[in-house]
Amino acid sequence: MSSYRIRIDPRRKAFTRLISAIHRELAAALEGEGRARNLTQSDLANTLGVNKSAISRRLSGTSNLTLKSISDLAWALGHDVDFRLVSRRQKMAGANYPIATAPEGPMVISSTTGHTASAPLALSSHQVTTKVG
Amino acid sequence: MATPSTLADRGSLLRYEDHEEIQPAERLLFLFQELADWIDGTLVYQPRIRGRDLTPLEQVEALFHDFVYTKDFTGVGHFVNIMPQGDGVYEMKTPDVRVFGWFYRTAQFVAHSGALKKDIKRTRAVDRIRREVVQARSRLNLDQPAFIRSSRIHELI
Repeated sequence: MSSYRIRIDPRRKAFTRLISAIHRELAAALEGEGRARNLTQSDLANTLGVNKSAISRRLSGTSNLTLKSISDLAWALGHDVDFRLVSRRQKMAGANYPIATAPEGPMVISSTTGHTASAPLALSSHQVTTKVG
Repeated sequence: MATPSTLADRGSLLRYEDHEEIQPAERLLFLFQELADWIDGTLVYQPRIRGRDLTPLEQVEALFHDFVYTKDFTGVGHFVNIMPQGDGVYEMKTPDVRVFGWFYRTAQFVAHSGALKKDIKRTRAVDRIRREVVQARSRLNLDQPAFIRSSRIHELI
């Protein structure tokens, strides 16, 4: 089997996983709220007092995320952000490491509906996971 | 006749893998060698655009990783069928990069080539790239059907 991987710095890779998971969680939350109460990007923009394009750029990754923008988007979605760090060492020790019962706390961005991201995210010596939507 | 997996076994295609990932693969992503060479030789040198969190290379790495390893990956916003009339050529999108290929089967994407979004817009090269993807697909002599398509991306993911 001929395989291929993209080589990037492990530290940047951890950041990449975090950004990717946050985008995925925000998109899932918006999709869920869209189904539940017809919430749209325009509604988020109105709630936050910004242009719809600003919301679109944040969600698509063409505009950078900040802690404030993540918090604002989650708030406008009617979700809370929860934060935990997960030990990467423990995670590597068992592929089926149960995040919900982790003895060492993970970073988790969580929401009112409790959707859990499937992709673990590494940060420093800990895993970062997000849970939104 | 062949499948992307058998072609990867023979070295004609590359299979994307993240050796540090402990989660099992949810989907398969195959690359032409030319795409791998473009990533390693061109994309790797592209700087992060102002206002972005990730460099173009990191954007592609994240998308490839999410496609292969993330169970709840929806593909919404990441895949565009660039010729809905019938060729089944899809554009894999990140904020700054486009990767072109096709779905061989559900959850199996064959990535043929890549380009920077800014270059695509400037040269209007999508039609040419689509033709090149179709020609490359024909040369692989894949088991039929050689590609699948759907108006609903979740049916392909």
